[in-house]
Amino acid sequence: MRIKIDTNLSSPLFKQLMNQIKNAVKDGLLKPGDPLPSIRQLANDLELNHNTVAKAYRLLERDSVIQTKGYRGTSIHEDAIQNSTVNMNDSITTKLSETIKSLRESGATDSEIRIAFSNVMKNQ
Amino acid sequence: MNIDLLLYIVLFSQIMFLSYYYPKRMLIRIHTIFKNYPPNEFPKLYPESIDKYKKSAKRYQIMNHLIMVLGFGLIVWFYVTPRTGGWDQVIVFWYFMIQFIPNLGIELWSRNTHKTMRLLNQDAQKEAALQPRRLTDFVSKEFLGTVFAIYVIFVGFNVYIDQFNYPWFGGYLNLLIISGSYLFFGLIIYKAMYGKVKNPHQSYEDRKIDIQTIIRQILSITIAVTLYAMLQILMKAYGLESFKAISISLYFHVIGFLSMQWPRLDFINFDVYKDKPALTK
Repeated sequence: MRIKIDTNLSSPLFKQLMNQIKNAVKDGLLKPGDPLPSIRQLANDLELNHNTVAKAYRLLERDSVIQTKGYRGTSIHEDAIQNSTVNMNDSITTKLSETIKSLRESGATDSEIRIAFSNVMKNQ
Repeated sequence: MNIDLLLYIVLFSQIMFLSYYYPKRMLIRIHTIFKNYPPNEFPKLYPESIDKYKKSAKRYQIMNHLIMVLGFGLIVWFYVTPRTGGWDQVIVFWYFMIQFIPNLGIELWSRNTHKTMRLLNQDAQKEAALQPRRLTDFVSKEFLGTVFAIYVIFVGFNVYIDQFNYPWFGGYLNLLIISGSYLFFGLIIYKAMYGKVKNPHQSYEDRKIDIQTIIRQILSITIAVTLYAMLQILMKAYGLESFKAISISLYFHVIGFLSMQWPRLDFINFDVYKDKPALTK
């Protein structure tokens, strides 16, 4: 399985990495338990900054598409096929839209919602 | 056979092998690339003018010829000068270091070429395999086991020799030096496996062959270094120091032979160098 990134594309590099790994899981090219290269190996092979690959891996781990098990390294998560179909951005947008709609219905103004959102984010 | 005569023969063989045969094989390889993969068809292979590369090849040849002449002079000098105090092995060692200089030049030449290739490379698309590389992908477990076993034997050997309280015996300093060598060689292997891509055009399959070649060479050299260290101690223990210069020369033969295991040219994918670069230097 090969991964290809294009530095000319407007899409961020970590996103390209994430999408390709998710697509490879969905297409059956990567199966649960398959090992993945280390951050250092992949970053050096693709001539990328290590932080870019680390960010992609971190977000994939958050989405339970991959898992890191100490010295055994990183591999594809057992629920990766199911989790690869979930788009976190869409999920966040849907949940926020529902919350904003409910707040507006209860009489809150957009300005109040923005200030409250900003405060909550700062305090988290 | 007289020890001196044996030393002349072994040193002559070292000169012919490392300053004649080895460079000849290297130059045949370089000129085969020039001939079969010319710049008009494989422009990415030559980030700079081919004349510059031809000059470097010529320089390599001349340097080796001069070192060969120096070696013959050394044999004559050994013949006319009485050798005392073990200086012959020091001279053989430093002569090998001089023999190594042109090859160091080739290594620097290769590094600079790759560096220029990277600077000129305008390809926005980067590709990588999504599989981890492991040491056992490149060498057998048996080979790795042999390297480890030889290290353990070396440790045991040092512990054994230490019992005799030889005043000259370096004791655990030997272990420190050999362990340091293992760490150093391990670092080279690690860099080869996980380090940055040197040649931006090289196919992944060719890179894997390169990595395999480096690992095999390094592990073989590791074995040779350890065995040689044990041989040196044994020679000292048995009072065979007059053979030291001969043994060091034979050891350099082995190192030279191991370093000569290059990947076959017909196995390398040169098609990756076909497209014209966007920039020229």
